[in-house]
Amino acid sequence: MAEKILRPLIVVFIILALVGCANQPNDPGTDVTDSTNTSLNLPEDSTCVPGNQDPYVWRPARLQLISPCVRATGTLMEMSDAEADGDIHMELLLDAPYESLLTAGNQRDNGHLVLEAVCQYTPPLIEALRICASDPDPYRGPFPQIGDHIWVEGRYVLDLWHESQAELHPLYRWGMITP
Amino acid sequence: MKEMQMGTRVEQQRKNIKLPSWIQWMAATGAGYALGMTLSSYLIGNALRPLGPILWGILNVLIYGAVIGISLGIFQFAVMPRELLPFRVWILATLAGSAVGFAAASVVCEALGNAMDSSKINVLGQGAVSATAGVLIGLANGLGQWYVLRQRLPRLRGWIMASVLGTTLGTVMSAVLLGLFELPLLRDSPNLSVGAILGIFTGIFQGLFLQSYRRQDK
Repeated sequence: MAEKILRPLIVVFIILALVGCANQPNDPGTDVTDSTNTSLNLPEDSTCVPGNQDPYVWRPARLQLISPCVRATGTLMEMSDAEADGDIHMELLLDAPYESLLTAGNQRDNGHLVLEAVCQYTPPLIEALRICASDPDPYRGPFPQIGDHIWVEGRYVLDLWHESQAELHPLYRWGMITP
Repeated sequence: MKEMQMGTRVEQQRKNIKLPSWIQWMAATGAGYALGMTLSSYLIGNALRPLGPILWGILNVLIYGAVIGISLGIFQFAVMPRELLPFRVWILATLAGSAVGFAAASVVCEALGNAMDSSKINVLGQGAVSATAGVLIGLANGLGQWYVLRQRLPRLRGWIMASVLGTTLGTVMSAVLLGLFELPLLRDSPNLSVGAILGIFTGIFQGLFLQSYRRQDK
């Protein structure tokens, strides 16, 4: 009886493993959102609309909400690979009009605004596992390249675990700024 | 008389079972967890994503744990003596234990974390969350494997304790190495790294238990 159950299970496991390995995060062929490839001039009077990623932030109480949605512009300076909590961490050198978004805590990230795209990977951090596994439609890449001049929108928070540094967490969307 | 002879023969057969060394067991467990967590993360993050609304949350985590269990079971079975248990029994026991363990750990750790004061980072609190994850994963895995092993190896309750201790140390150490020291080598592939650390510690404790069991049995 057990063998009857196990054999198809192993076949399914192998098939899923092959499919899963072939389809990795940030594959440009998957889940491309409409804003990422859009080149826009930043409209001054644009309205920032919150995205649907807020429920997928683990331990939400570690972040102090300042504004549900903020838009800023700047140059991407850093980008991490997978982090243990499943997020991708980016750092943005803000354009002068937006520097007031920063706090003293941002000095730990070279004076850059931190951007966190949540649930980009399945996190090995157990506390975040169920939360990310519940997200049917994470905000996926492709993400900007280092040096790109971009606009970003996200939930503006202070990270209480990291000296109250300012972050857009989660990052809702981004786009290139044409010169 | 016949029954006594039969019993003695079964006992003799059991004593002739050559259990793996602790190094073999550690290597198999480390490889099983590392590969399992890597495969699982791709599956949950990609192949199963379109099924999200159906396979949401906890069901996804059950599948995540089950895949880790299959990988762990295959690697451990590779170093086990063939006469100990049938392949399917070992795989099913490990799969079930791992699925339940990861699902329970994810739910409990999430609730525990949310119940804590999060206004500042609390290293001890984070350690407690990691340790809780280890206890639950180790307990479920240990119970599942003990349940099938006890039919061939009596007096094996220490197996559960070894699993709990090893997995707990593994989750705490992986949190320390990844979180506090932020070692770049580990950060580049967190699922592989956490799986390997978890597996190595679990394997050491279970392997040492097997070694002491073998000595006692002689």
